[in-house]
Amino acid sequence: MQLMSPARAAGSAIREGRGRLPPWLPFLVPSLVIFAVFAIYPVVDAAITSVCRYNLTEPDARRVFIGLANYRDMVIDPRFWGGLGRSFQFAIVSVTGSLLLGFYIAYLLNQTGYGKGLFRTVFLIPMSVSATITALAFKFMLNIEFGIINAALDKVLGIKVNFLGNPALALWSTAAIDIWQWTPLVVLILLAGLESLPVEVYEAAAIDGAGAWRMVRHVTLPLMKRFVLIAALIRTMDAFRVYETIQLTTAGGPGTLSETLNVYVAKRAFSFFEMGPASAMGLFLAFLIIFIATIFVRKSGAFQELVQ
Amino acid sequence: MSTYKTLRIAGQLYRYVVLTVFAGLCIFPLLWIALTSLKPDVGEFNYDMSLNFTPTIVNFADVLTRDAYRYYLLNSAIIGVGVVMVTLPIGAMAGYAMARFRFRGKDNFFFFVLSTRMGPPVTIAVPLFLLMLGADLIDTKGGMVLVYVFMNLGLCIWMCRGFFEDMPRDVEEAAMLDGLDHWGVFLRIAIPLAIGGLVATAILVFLFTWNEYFFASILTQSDAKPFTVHLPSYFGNRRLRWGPLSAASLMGAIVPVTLAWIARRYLVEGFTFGTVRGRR
Repeated sequence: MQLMSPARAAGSAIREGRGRLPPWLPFLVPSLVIFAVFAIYPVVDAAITSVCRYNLTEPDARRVFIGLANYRDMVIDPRFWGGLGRSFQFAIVSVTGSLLLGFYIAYLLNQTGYGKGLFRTVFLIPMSVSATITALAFKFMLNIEFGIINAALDKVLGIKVNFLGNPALALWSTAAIDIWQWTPLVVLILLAGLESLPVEVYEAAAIDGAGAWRMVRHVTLPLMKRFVLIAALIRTMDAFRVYETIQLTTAGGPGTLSETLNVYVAKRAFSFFEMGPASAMGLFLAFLIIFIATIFVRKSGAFQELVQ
Repeated sequence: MSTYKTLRIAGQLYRYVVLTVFAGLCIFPLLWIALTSLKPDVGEFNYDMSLNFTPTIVNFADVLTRDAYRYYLLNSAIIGVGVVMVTLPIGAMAGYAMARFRFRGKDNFFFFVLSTRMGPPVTIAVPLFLLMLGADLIDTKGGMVLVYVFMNLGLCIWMCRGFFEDMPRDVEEAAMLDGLDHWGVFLRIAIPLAIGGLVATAILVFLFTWNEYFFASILTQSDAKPFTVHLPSYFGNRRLRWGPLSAASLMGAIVPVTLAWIARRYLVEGFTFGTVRGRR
Protein backbone atom coordinates (compact mmCIF):
# COMPACT_ATOMS: atom_id res chain seq x y z
CA MET A 1 0.00 0.00 0.00
CA GLN A 2 1.24 3.40 -0.90
CA LEU A 3 1.50 5.89 1.90
CA MET A 4 0.13 9.36 1.43
CA SER A 5 2.48 12.16 2.34
CA PRO A 6 1.22 14.16 5.32
CA ALA A 7 0.73 17.21 3.14
CA ARG A 8 -1.38 15.27 0.66
CA ALA A 9 -3.43 13.81 3.46
CA ALA A 10 -4.07 17.28 4.82
CA GLY A 11 -4.89 18.42 1.33
CA SER A 12 -7.56 15.81 0.91
CA ALA A 13 -8.89 16.78 4.30
CA ILE A 14 -9.26 20.33 3.01
CA ARG A 15 -11.07 19.08 -0.02
CA GLU A 16 -13.35 16.48 1.51
CA GLY A 17 -13.73 17.65 5.07
CA ARG A 18 -14.90 15.67 8.03
CA GLY A 19 -17.77 15.86 10.44
CA ARG A 20 -21.45 16.21 9.82
CA LEU A 21 -21.86 19.55 8.10
CA PRO A 22 -19.85 19.88 4.93
CA PRO A 23 -17.04 22.26 5.89
CA TRP A 24 -17.64 24.54 2.92
CA LEU A 25 -21.25 25.24 3.80
CA PRO A 26 -20.73 27.84 6.55
CA PHE A 27 -18.43 29.76 4.20
CA LEU A 28 -21.22 30.01 1.66
CA VAL A 29 -24.26 30.58 3.88
CA PRO A 30 -24.10 34.41 4.05
CA SER A 31 -23.73 34.66 0.29
CA LEU A 32 -26.55 32.20 -0.29
CA VAL A 33 -28.85 34.20 1.99
CA ILE A 34 -28.08 37.43 0.13
CA PHE A 35 -28.60 35.82 -3.26
CA ALA A 36 -31.85 34.28 -2.08
CA VAL A 37 -33.22 37.62 -0.88
CA PHE A 38 -31.89 39.86 -3.65
CA ALA A 39 -31.78 37.59 -6.70
CA ILE A 40 -34.11 34.63 -6.38
CA TYR A 41 -36.91 36.32 -4.46
CA PRO A 42 -37.07 39.33 -6.83
CA VAL A 43 -37.19 37.14 -9.91
CA VAL A 44 -39.99 35.01 -8.43
CA ASP A 45 -41.79 38.14 -7.29
CA ALA A 46 -41.39 39.74 -10.71
CA ALA A 47 -42.82 36.59 -12.29
CA ILE A 48 -45.88 36.86 -10.05
CA THR A 49 -46.29 40.59 -10.69
CA SER A 50 -45.99 39.97 -14.42
CA VAL A 51 -49.30 38.07 -14.43
CA CYS A 52 -51.04 40.70 -12.33
CA ARG A 53 -52.52 44.12 -12.66
CA TYR A 54 -50.66 46.29 -10.21
CA ASN A 55 -50.64 50.03 -10.67
CA LEU A 56 -49.12 51.97 -7.80
CA THR A 57 -50.82 55.21 -8.79
CA GLU A 58 -54.21 53.76 -7.98
CA PRO A 59 -55.53 54.10 -4.43
CA ASP A 60 -55.26 50.85 -2.42
CA ALA A 61 -53.13 49.34 -5.15
CA ARG A 62 -52.75 45.60 -4.89
CA ARG A 63 -51.96 42.77 -7.22
CA VAL A 64 -54.91 41.35 -9.14
CA PHE A 65 -54.33 38.21 -11.17
CA ILE A 66 -55.03 38.82 -14.86
CA GLY A 67 -53.30 35.88 -16.48
CA LEU A 68 -51.04 36.53 -19.44
CA ALA A 69 -52.62 39.87 -20.36
CA ASN A 70 -49.41 41.79 -19.67
CA TYR A 71 -47.47 39.52 -22.01
CA ARG A 72 -50.18 39.83 -24.67
CA ASP A 73 -50.04 43.62 -24.37
CA MET A 74 -46.28 43.45 -24.60
CA VAL A 75 -46.37 41.53 -27.86
CA ILE A 76 -48.74 44.04 -29.49
CA ASP A 77 -46.99 47.12 -28.04
CA PRO A 78 -45.07 48.87 -30.83
CA ARG A 79 -43.01 50.74 -28.26
CA PHE A 80 -41.79 47.41 -26.86
CA TRP A 81 -40.66 46.22 -30.30
CA GLY A 82 -39.16 49.60 -31.08
CA GLY A 83 -37.23 49.54 -27.81
CA LEU A 84 -36.07 45.98 -28.42
CA GLY A 85 -34.88 46.88 -31.91
CA ARG A 86 -33.02 49.92 -30.62
CA SER A 87 -31.46 47.84 -27.84
CA PHE A 88 -30.01 45.59 -30.51
CA GLN A 89 -28.94 48.51 -32.70
CA PHE A 90 -27.31 50.21 -29.75
CA ALA A 91 -25.56 47.01 -28.64
CA ILE A 92 -24.33 46.07 -32.11
CA VAL A 93 -22.92 49.53 -32.84
CA SER A 94 -21.44 50.02 -29.38
CA VAL A 95 -19.92 46.54 -29.13
CA THR A 96 -18.45 46.36 -32.63
CA GLY A 97 -17.27 49.96 -32.43
CA SER A 98 -15.47 49.49 -29.15
CA LEU A 99 -14.03 46.10 -30.17
CA LEU A 100 -12.62 47.30 -33.50
CA LEU A 101 -11.23 50.53 -32.12
CA GLY A 102 -10.09 48.77 -28.96
CA PHE A 103 -8.23 46.09 -30.87
CA TYR A 104 -6.50 48.64 -33.07
CA ILE A 105 -5.35 50.73 -30.11
CA ALA A 106 -4.26 47.64 -28.17
CA TYR A 107 -2.35 46.42 -31.22
CA LEU A 108 -0.50 49.72 -31.52
CA LEU A 109 0.06 49.96 -27.78
CA ASN A 110 1.52 46.47 -27.65
CA GLN A 111 4.30 47.52 -30.05
CA THR A 112 5.09 50.52 -27.93
CA GLY A 113 7.79 50.56 -25.33
CA TYR A 114 8.28 54.13 -24.24
CA GLY A 115 5.20 55.72 -22.66
CA LYS A 116 3.17 52.53 -22.50
CA GLY A 117 2.55 52.87 -18.78
CA LEU A 118 1.41 56.46 -19.15
CA PHE A 119 -1.06 55.53 -21.90
CA ARG A 120 -2.43 52.69 -19.79
CA THR A 121 -2.97 55.05 -16.87
CA VAL A 122 -4.82 57.58 -19.00
CA PHE A 123 -7.00 54.80 -20.41
CA LEU A 124 -8.25 54.07 -16.90
CA ILE A 125 -10.14 57.36 -16.76
CA PRO A 126 -13.24 56.76 -18.92
CA MET A 127 -14.14 53.42 -17.33
CA SER A 128 -13.69 54.56 -13.76
CA VAL A 129 -15.77 57.74 -13.97
CA SER A 130 -19.46 57.28 -13.22
CA ALA A 131 -21.70 56.94 -16.26
CA THR A 132 -23.76 59.74 -14.72
CA ILE A 133 -20.85 62.17 -14.95
CA THR A 134 -19.95 60.92 -18.42
CA ALA A 135 -23.50 61.41 -19.67
CA LEU A 136 -23.76 64.94 -18.26
CA ALA A 137 -20.30 65.92 -19.48
CA PHE A 138 -21.16 64.82 -23.01
CA LYS A 139 -24.56 66.47 -22.85
CA PHE A 140 -22.68 69.64 -22.00
CA MET A 141 -20.02 69.22 -24.68
CA LEU A 142 -22.56 68.26 -27.36
CA ASN A 143 -24.88 71.17 -26.52
CA ILE A 144 -25.69 73.04 -29.68
CA GLU A 145 -25.17 76.51 -28.22
CA PHE A 146 -22.61 76.05 -25.46
CA GLY A 147 -20.89 72.80 -26.35
CA ILE A 148 -17.21 72.74 -27.23
CA ILE A 149 -17.75 70.03 -29.85
CA ASN A 150 -20.23 72.15 -31.76
CA ALA A 151 -18.03 75.20 -31.36
CA ALA A 152 -15.16 73.25 -32.90
CA LEU A 153 -17.37 71.96 -35.72
CA ASP A 154 -18.60 75.48 -36.37
CA LYS A 155 -15.10 76.84 -36.56
CA VAL A 156 -13.67 74.12 -38.79
CA LEU A 157 -16.59 73.11 -41.00
CA GLY A 158 -19.03 75.93 -40.42
CA ILE A 159 -21.78 73.57 -39.30
CA LYS A 160 -23.55 72.82 -36.04
CA VAL A 161 -25.03 69.43 -35.29
CA ASN A 162 -27.78 68.75 -32.82
CA PHE A 163 -26.34 65.40 -31.82
CA LEU A 164 -28.81 64.58 -29.08
CA GLY A 165 -31.89 66.27 -30.54
CA ASN A 166 -31.72 65.14 -34.15
CA PRO A 167 -34.03 62.14 -34.67
CA ALA A 168 -31.56 60.49 -37.04
CA LEU A 169 -28.60 60.96 -34.71
CA ALA A 170 -29.79 60.70 -31.09
CA LEU A 171 -29.41 56.92 -30.67
CA TRP A 172 -26.02 56.85 -32.42
CA SER A 173 -24.78 59.75 -30.33
CA THR A 174 -25.57 57.86 -27.14
CA ALA A 175 -23.88 54.78 -28.60
CA ALA A 176 -20.82 56.93 -29.32
CA ILE A 177 -20.73 58.05 -25.69
CA ASP A 178 -20.88 54.39 -24.68
CA ILE A 179 -18.03 53.60 -27.06
CA TRP A 180 -16.02 56.45 -25.55
CA GLN A 181 -16.56 55.10 -22.06
CA TRP A 182 -15.79 51.43 -22.70
CA THR A 183 -13.24 51.24 -25.53
CA PRO A 184 -10.35 51.76 -23.09
CA LEU A 185 -11.48 48.70 -21.14
CA VAL A 186 -11.44 46.68 -24.36
CA VAL A 187 -7.95 48.04 -25.02
CA LEU A 188 -6.70 46.85 -21.65
CA ILE A 189 -8.35 43.43 -21.95
CA LEU A 190 -6.94 42.83 -25.43
CA LEU A 191 -3.57 44.24 -24.42
CA ALA A 192 -3.42 41.63 -21.65
CA GLY A 193 -4.13 39.06 -24.35
CA LEU A 194 -1.48 40.41 -26.72
CA GLU A 195 1.09 40.49 -23.95
CA SER A 196 0.38 36.86 -23.15
CA LEU A 197 1.19 35.70 -26.69
CA PRO A 198 4.56 34.01 -27.13
CA VAL A 199 7.02 36.03 -29.23
CA GLU A 200 8.12 32.93 -31.13
CA VAL A 201 4.81 32.81 -32.95
CA TYR A 202 5.48 36.18 -34.53
CA GLU A 203 9.03 35.29 -35.36
CA ALA A 204 7.95 32.10 -37.07
CA ALA A 205 5.24 33.91 -39.01
CA ALA A 206 7.64 36.70 -39.93
CA ILE A 207 10.14 34.16 -41.28
CA ASP A 208 7.33 32.69 -43.35
CA GLY A 209 6.97 36.16 -44.82
CA ALA A 210 3.53 36.96 -43.51
CA GLY A 211 2.53 40.62 -43.81
CA ALA A 212 1.12 42.63 -40.93
CA TRP A 213 -2.53 42.12 -41.87
CA ARG A 214 -2.16 38.38 -42.50
CA MET A 215 -0.25 38.06 -39.25
CA VAL A 216 -3.13 39.66 -37.34
CA ARG A 217 -5.77 37.72 -39.22
CA HIS A 218 -4.23 34.25 -39.07
CA VAL A 219 -1.92 34.34 -36.05
CA THR A 220 -2.86 37.01 -33.53
CA LEU A 221 -6.65 36.84 -33.61
CA PRO A 222 -6.99 33.04 -33.37
CA LEU A 223 -4.59 32.99 -30.41
CA MET A 224 -6.46 35.86 -28.81
CA LYS A 225 -9.88 34.27 -29.23
CA ARG A 226 -10.50 33.91 -25.52
CA PHE A 227 -9.75 37.56 -24.77
CA VAL A 228 -11.82 38.83 -27.68
CA LEU A 229 -14.75 36.70 -26.52
CA ILE A 230 -14.50 37.92 -22.94
CA ALA A 231 -14.40 41.53 -24.12
CA ALA A 232 -17.34 40.90 -26.45
CA LEU A 233 -19.35 39.19 -23.72
CA ILE A 234 -18.82 41.90 -21.14
CA ARG A 235 -19.45 44.69 -23.61
CA THR A 236 -22.63 43.02 -24.91
CA MET A 237 -24.08 42.50 -21.43
CA ASP A 238 -23.34 46.09 -20.49
CA ALA A 239 -24.64 47.53 -23.75
CA PHE A 240 -28.06 45.93 -23.20
CA ARG A 241 -28.22 47.40 -19.71
CA VAL A 242 -27.13 50.93 -20.53
CA TYR A 243 -29.27 53.40 -18.67
CA GLU A 244 -27.63 56.69 -17.61
CA THR A 245 -25.96 57.25 -20.97
CA ILE A 246 -29.41 57.42 -22.58
CA GLN A 247 -31.68 58.56 -19.77
CA LEU A 248 -29.53 61.53 -18.76
CA THR A 249 -28.73 62.73 -22.29
CA THR A 250 -31.79 62.22 -24.48
CA ALA A 251 -34.16 60.55 -21.98
CA GLY A 252 -35.10 58.29 -24.88
CA GLY A 253 -36.03 61.18 -27.15
CA PRO A 254 -36.73 62.81 -29.44
CA GLY A 255 -40.05 61.04 -29.10
CA THR A 256 -38.95 57.49 -28.44
CA LEU A 257 -36.22 57.45 -31.08
CA SER A 258 -33.39 56.68 -28.70
CA GLU A 259 -35.42 54.68 -26.20
CA THR A 260 -33.96 51.22 -25.67
CA LEU A 261 -35.97 48.44 -24.04
CA ASN A 262 -34.10 48.89 -20.77
CA VAL A 263 -35.02 52.58 -20.64
CA TYR A 264 -38.63 51.86 -21.63
CA VAL A 265 -39.06 49.26 -18.89
CA ALA A 266 -37.70 51.68 -16.29
CA LYS A 267 -40.13 54.33 -17.56
CA ARG A 268 -43.13 52.00 -17.35
CA ALA A 269 -42.15 51.01 -13.82
CA PHE A 270 -41.02 54.25 -12.24
CA SER A 271 -42.69 57.00 -14.26
CA PHE A 272 -46.06 55.33 -14.88
CA PHE A 273 -45.86 52.85 -11.96
CA GLU A 274 -47.39 50.07 -14.05
CA MET A 275 -45.63 47.27 -12.27
CA GLY A 276 -47.32 44.41 -14.17
CA PRO A 277 -46.23 45.29 -17.71
CA ALA A 278 -42.85 46.47 -16.44
CA SER A 279 -42.25 43.11 -14.75
CA ALA A 280 -43.26 41.18 -17.85
CA MET A 281 -40.92 43.16 -20.07
CA GLY A 282 -38.15 43.16 -17.46
CA LEU A 283 -38.25 39.37 -17.28
CA PHE A 284 -38.19 39.16 -21.04
CA LEU A 285 -35.11 41.38 -21.15
CA ALA A 286 -33.38 39.36 -18.43
CA PHE A 287 -34.00 36.08 -20.22
CA LEU A 288 -32.84 37.55 -23.50
CA ILE A 289 -29.57 38.80 -22.00
CA ILE A 290 -28.88 35.63 -20.04
CA PHE A 291 -29.70 33.56 -23.13
CA ILE A 292 -27.14 35.51 -25.17
CA ALA A 293 -24.63 35.31 -22.32
CA THR A 294 -25.09 31.57 -21.95
CA ILE A 295 -24.38 31.03 -25.63
CA PHE A 296 -21.22 33.11 -25.28
CA VAL A 297 -20.07 31.34 -22.14
CA ARG A 298 -20.86 27.78 -23.20
CA LYS A 299 -19.71 28.07 -26.81
CA SER A 300 -16.62 30.15 -26.23
CA GLY A 301 -15.17 28.31 -23.28
CA ALA A 302 -14.00 31.72 -22.14
CA PHE A 303 -14.92 30.95 -18.57
CA GLN A 304 -14.24 27.22 -18.65
CA GLU A 305 -10.68 27.31 -17.48
CA LEU A 306 -11.77 29.23 -14.43
CA VAL A 307 -14.41 26.68 -13.54
CA GLN A 308 -12.38 23.51 -13.48
CA MET B 1 19.15 56.77 -44.40
CA SER B 2 17.82 53.52 -45.73
CA THR B 3 14.19 53.24 -46.80
CA TYR B 4 13.62 50.59 -44.19
CA LYS B 5 14.75 52.83 -41.38
CA THR B 6 12.66 55.74 -42.65
CA LEU B 7 9.62 53.50 -42.80
CA ARG B 8 10.21 52.30 -39.27
CA ILE B 9 10.50 55.81 -37.89
CA ALA B 10 7.41 56.85 -39.79
CA GLY B 11 5.55 53.86 -38.40
CA GLN B 12 6.62 54.71 -34.89
CA LEU B 13 5.62 58.31 -35.31
CA TYR B 14 2.22 57.27 -36.64
CA ARG B 15 1.72 54.94 -33.68
CA TYR B 16 2.47 57.64 -31.14
CA VAL B 17 0.23 60.12 -32.91
CA VAL B 18 -2.72 57.70 -32.91
CA LEU B 19 -2.18 56.69 -29.30
CA THR B 20 -1.80 60.30 -28.18
CA VAL B 21 -4.98 61.34 -29.98
CA PHE B 22 -6.86 58.45 -28.36
CA ALA B 23 -5.43 59.30 -24.94
CA GLY B 24 -6.41 62.90 -25.53
CA LEU B 25 -9.98 61.84 -26.26
CA CYS B 26 -10.01 59.81 -23.05
CA ILE B 27 -8.90 62.71 -20.93
CA PHE B 28 -10.63 65.59 -22.69
CA PRO B 29 -14.11 65.53 -21.05
CA LEU B 30 -12.58 65.57 -17.59
CA LEU B 31 -10.19 68.31 -18.63
CA TRP B 32 -13.00 70.42 -20.06
CA ILE B 33 -15.04 69.98 -16.91
CA ALA B 34 -12.04 70.95 -14.80
CA LEU B 35 -11.53 74.09 -16.88
CA THR B 36 -15.19 75.03 -16.73
CA SER B 37 -15.32 74.46 -13.00
CA LEU B 38 -12.62 77.11 -12.56
CA LYS B 39 -14.39 79.75 -14.61
CA PRO B 40 -16.34 82.50 -12.89
CA ASP B 41 -20.02 81.62 -12.77
CA VAL B 42 -21.66 83.73 -15.46
CA GLY B 43 -25.18 82.75 -14.50
CA GLU B 44 -27.80 80.55 -16.04
CA PHE B 45 -27.95 79.72 -19.74
CA ASN B 46 -24.72 81.53 -20.35
CA TYR B 47 -21.36 80.17 -21.23
CA ASP B 48 -18.20 81.74 -22.42
CA MET B 49 -16.05 79.19 -24.20
CA SER B 50 -12.87 81.24 -24.28
CA LEU B 51 -9.91 80.14 -22.22
CA ASN B 52 -9.25 83.69 -21.20
CA PHE B 53 -10.40 83.83 -17.61
CA THR B 54 -9.23 84.27 -14.06
CA PRO B 55 -9.48 80.93 -12.24
CA THR B 56 -11.78 80.93 -9.26
CA ILE B 57 -12.97 78.38 -6.75
CA VAL B 58 -16.34 80.07 -6.33
CA ASN B 59 -18.14 77.18 -8.07
CA PHE B 60 -16.74 74.65 -5.65
CA ALA B 61 -17.61 76.82 -2.68
CA ASP B 62 -21.06 77.33 -4.10
CA VAL B 63 -21.73 73.65 -4.66
CA LEU B 64 -20.36 72.56 -1.32
CA THR B 65 -21.99 75.17 0.89
CA ARG B 66 -25.12 76.51 -0.76
CA ASP B 67 -26.25 73.31 -2.48
CA ALA B 68 -25.62 70.78 0.27
CA TYR B 69 -23.66 68.77 -2.29
CA ARG B 70 -21.28 67.81 0.49
CA TYR B 71 -24.05 65.82 2.14
CA TYR B 72 -24.61 63.85 -1.03
CA LEU B 73 -20.91 63.20 -1.42
CA LEU B 74 -20.83 62.11 2.19
CA ASN B 75 -23.81 59.81 1.60
CA SER B 76 -21.98 58.21 -1.32
CA ALA B 77 -18.91 57.71 0.84
CA ILE B 78 -20.84 56.30 3.82
CA ILE B 79 -22.81 53.91 1.64
CA GLY B 80 -19.64 52.87 -0.18
CA VAL B 81 -17.74 52.13 3.02
CA GLY B 82 -20.72 50.24 4.43
CA VAL B 83 -20.99 48.13 1.29
CA VAL B 84 -17.29 47.27 1.40
CA MET B 85 -17.47 46.32 5.07
CA VAL B 86 -20.31 43.88 4.46
CA THR B 87 -19.41 42.60 1.00
CA LEU B 88 -15.75 41.88 1.53
CA PRO B 89 -15.98 39.40 4.46
CA ILE B 90 -18.96 37.61 2.91
CA GLY B 91 -17.43 37.52 -0.54
CA ALA B 92 -14.03 36.44 0.75
CA MET B 93 -15.62 33.54 2.62
CA ALA B 94 -17.51 32.38 -0.44
CA GLY B 95 -14.48 32.95 -2.65
CA TYR B 96 -12.37 30.85 -0.31
CA ALA B 97 -14.93 28.04 -0.41
CA MET B 98 -14.93 28.20 -4.21
CA ALA B 99 -11.14 28.07 -4.34
CA ARG B 100 -10.46 25.39 -1.76
CA PHE B 101 -13.39 22.99 -1.53
CA ARG B 102 -14.99 20.62 -3.96
CA PHE B 103 -18.71 20.19 -3.86
CA ARG B 104 -21.56 19.29 -6.10
CA GLY B 105 -23.17 22.11 -8.03
CA LYS B 106 -20.12 24.35 -7.76
CA ASP B 107 -20.10 25.10 -11.48
CA ASN B 108 -23.76 25.96 -11.49
CA PHE B 109 -23.36 28.19 -8.46
CA PHE B 110 -20.52 29.94 -10.20
CA PHE B 111 -22.56 30.63 -13.31
CA PHE B 112 -25.46 31.73 -11.16
CA VAL B 113 -23.16 34.23 -9.45
CA LEU B 114 -22.05 35.43 -12.87
CA SER B 115 -25.64 35.83 -14.03
CA THR B 116 -26.39 38.15 -11.13
CA ARG B 117 -24.05 40.62 -12.75
CA MET B 118 -25.19 40.00 -16.29
CA GLY B 119 -28.89 40.40 -15.74
CA PRO B 120 -30.34 43.86 -16.24
CA PRO B 121 -30.92 45.74 -12.97
CA VAL B 122 -34.29 46.92 -14.21
CA THR B 123 -35.69 43.37 -13.91
CA ILE B 124 -35.25 43.20 -10.17
CA ALA B 125 -35.86 46.91 -9.65
CA VAL B 126 -39.63 46.54 -9.25
CA PRO B 127 -39.53 43.73 -6.64
CA LEU B 128 -36.68 45.42 -4.78
CA PHE B 129 -38.57 48.71 -4.78
CA LEU B 130 -41.66 46.96 -3.34
CA LEU B 131 -39.52 45.01 -0.86
CA MET B 132 -37.83 48.17 0.39
CA LEU B 133 -41.16 49.95 0.52
CA GLY B 134 -42.58 47.15 2.66
CA ALA B 135 -39.55 47.03 4.94
CA ASP B 136 -39.55 50.82 5.30
CA LEU B 137 -36.06 50.99 3.84
CA ILE B 138 -36.73 53.50 1.05
CA ASP B 139 -34.35 56.44 1.28
CA THR B 140 -32.22 54.86 4.01
CA LYS B 141 -28.49 54.32 3.80
CA GLY B 142 -28.89 50.86 5.33
CA GLY B 143 -31.29 49.85 2.59
CA MET B 144 -28.94 51.13 -0.11
CA VAL B 145 -26.05 49.22 1.47
CA LEU B 146 -28.07 46.01 1.29
CA VAL B 147 -28.90 46.49 -2.39
CA TYR B 148 -25.31 47.30 -3.30
CA VAL B 149 -23.96 44.40 -1.26
CA PHE B 150 -25.97 42.13 -3.50
CA MET B 151 -24.90 43.97 -6.65
CA ASN B 152 -21.20 43.66 -5.81
CA LEU B 153 -21.15 40.26 -4.14
CA GLY B 154 -20.77 38.30 -7.37
CA LEU B 155 -17.79 40.37 -8.44
CA CYS B 156 -16.28 40.05 -4.99
CA ILE B 157 -16.66 36.26 -4.91
CA TRP B 158 -15.11 35.85 -8.36
CA MET B 159 -12.17 38.09 -7.57
CA CYS B 160 -11.47 36.64 -4.12
CA ARG B 161 -11.64 33.15 -5.52
CA GLY B 162 -8.91 34.05 -7.98
CA PHE B 163 -6.64 35.43 -5.28
CA PHE B 164 -7.08 32.41 -3.02
CA GLU B 165 -6.56 30.07 -5.95
CA ASP B 166 -3.24 31.76 -6.72
CA MET B 167 -1.87 31.00 -3.27
CA PRO B 168 0.15 27.85 -2.74
CA ARG B 169 -1.79 25.19 -0.89
CA ASP B 170 1.23 23.92 1.04
CA VAL B 171 1.11 26.59 3.72
CA GLU B 172 -2.54 25.94 4.43
CA GLU B 173 -2.01 22.20 4.46
CA ALA B 174 0.88 22.55 6.90
CA ALA B 175 -1.27 24.75 9.14
CA MET B 176 -4.00 22.13 9.13
CA LEU B 177 -1.49 19.53 10.24
CA ASP B 178 -0.59 21.89 13.07
CA GLY B 179 -4.16 21.66 14.23
CA LEU B 180 -5.87 24.69 12.72
CA ASP B 181 -9.41 24.07 11.50
CA HIS B 182 -10.80 25.52 8.26
CA TRP B 183 -11.73 28.81 9.89
CA GLY B 184 -8.33 29.10 11.50
CA VAL B 185 -6.63 28.51 8.17
CA PHE B 186 -8.92 30.98 6.45
CA LEU B 187 -8.54 33.74 9.01
CA ARG B 188 -4.90 33.34 10.00
CA ILE B 189 -3.25 32.04 6.84
CA ALA B 190 -5.32 32.69 3.73
CA ILE B 191 -6.48 36.24 4.45
CA PRO B 192 -3.06 37.62 5.38
CA LEU B 193 -1.56 36.00 2.29
CA ALA B 194 -4.22 37.40 -0.04
CA ILE B 195 -4.45 40.80 1.60
CA GLY B 196 -3.23 42.76 -1.45
CA GLY B 197 -5.91 41.26 -3.65
CA LEU B 198 -8.57 41.76 -0.98
CA VAL B 199 -7.69 45.45 -0.68
CA ALA B 200 -7.94 45.80 -4.46
CA THR B 201 -11.33 44.08 -4.35
CA ALA B 202 -12.48 46.46 -1.63
CA ILE B 203 -11.39 49.44 -3.72
CA LEU B 204 -13.28 48.17 -6.76
CA VAL B 205 -16.43 47.46 -4.76
CA PHE B 206 -16.29 50.99 -3.39
CA LEU B 207 -15.73 52.40 -6.88
CA PHE B 208 -18.72 50.56 -8.37
CA THR B 209 -20.93 51.62 -5.47
CA TRP B 210 -19.78 55.23 -5.67
CA ASN B 211 -20.62 55.36 -9.39
CA GLU B 212 -24.04 53.68 -9.25
CA TYR B 213 -27.03 55.70 -10.38
CA PHE B 214 -30.00 53.55 -11.40
CA PHE B 215 -31.00 51.96 -8.08
CA ALA B 216 -30.15 55.11 -6.17
CA SER B 217 -32.41 57.15 -8.43
CA ILE B 218 -35.33 54.83 -7.63
CA LEU B 219 -34.71 54.11 -3.98
CA THR B 220 -33.54 57.43 -2.54
CA GLN B 221 -35.07 60.88 -2.24
CA SER B 222 -33.05 62.98 0.18
CA ASP B 223 -31.72 61.32 3.35
CA ALA B 224 -29.74 58.63 1.55
CA LYS B 225 -29.34 60.42 -1.79
CA PRO B 226 -25.87 59.91 -3.25
CA PHE B 227 -24.16 62.54 -5.39
CA THR B 228 -24.93 60.71 -8.65
CA VAL B 229 -28.64 61.29 -8.15
CA HIS B 230 -28.18 64.94 -7.27
CA LEU B 231 -25.87 65.70 -10.17
CA PRO B 232 -28.46 65.69 -12.99
CA SER B 233 -30.44 68.39 -11.15
CA TYR B 234 -27.73 70.85 -12.24
CA PHE B 235 -28.83 70.10 -15.76
CA GLY B 236 -32.53 70.70 -15.27
CA ASN B 237 -34.66 72.68 -17.66
CA ARG B 238 -34.92 75.61 -15.35
CA ARG B 239 -31.38 75.44 -14.07
CA LEU B 240 -28.41 75.32 -16.36
CA ARG B 241 -25.31 76.47 -14.57
CA TRP B 242 -22.18 75.13 -16.12
CA GLY B 243 -19.79 76.19 -13.39
CA PRO B 244 -21.49 74.40 -10.50
CA LEU B 245 -22.31 71.41 -12.72
CA SER B 246 -18.66 71.05 -13.65
CA ALA B 247 -17.38 71.57 -10.12
CA ALA B 248 -19.80 68.96 -8.78
CA SER B 249 -18.93 66.52 -11.57
CA LEU B 250 -15.22 66.96 -11.03
CA MET B 251 -15.53 66.22 -7.32
CA GLY B 252 -17.54 63.11 -8.12
CA ALA B 253 -14.96 61.97 -10.66
CA ILE B 254 -11.75 62.54 -8.73
CA VAL B 255 -12.46 59.87 -6.13
CA PRO B 256 -12.96 56.90 -8.50
CA VAL B 257 -10.16 57.99 -10.84
CA THR B 258 -7.75 58.10 -7.91
CA LEU B 259 -8.96 54.74 -6.62
CA ALA B 260 -8.70 53.22 -10.09
CA TRP B 261 -5.14 54.44 -10.31
CA ILE B 262 -4.29 52.91 -6.91
CA ALA B 263 -5.83 49.57 -7.88
CA ARG B 264 -4.73 49.79 -11.52
CA ARG B 265 -3.04 46.42 -11.59
CA TYR B 266 -6.30 44.76 -10.61
CA LEU B 267 -8.74 47.00 -12.45
CA VAL B 268 -9.13 44.95 -15.61
CA GLU B 269 -9.50 41.85 -13.49
CA GLY B 270 -12.32 43.53 -11.59
CA PHE B 271 -14.13 44.67 -14.71
CA THR B 272 -13.87 41.20 -16.27
CA PHE B 273 -14.91 39.15 -13.28
CA GLY B 274 -11.38 37.93 -12.76
CA THR B 275 -11.24 36.28 -16.18
CA VAL B 276 -8.48 38.55 -17.46
CA ARG B 277 -5.37 38.91 -15.39
CA GLY B 278 -3.28 41.94 -16.13
CA ARG B 279 0.41 42.06 -15.43
CA ARG B 280 1.06 42.15 -11.73
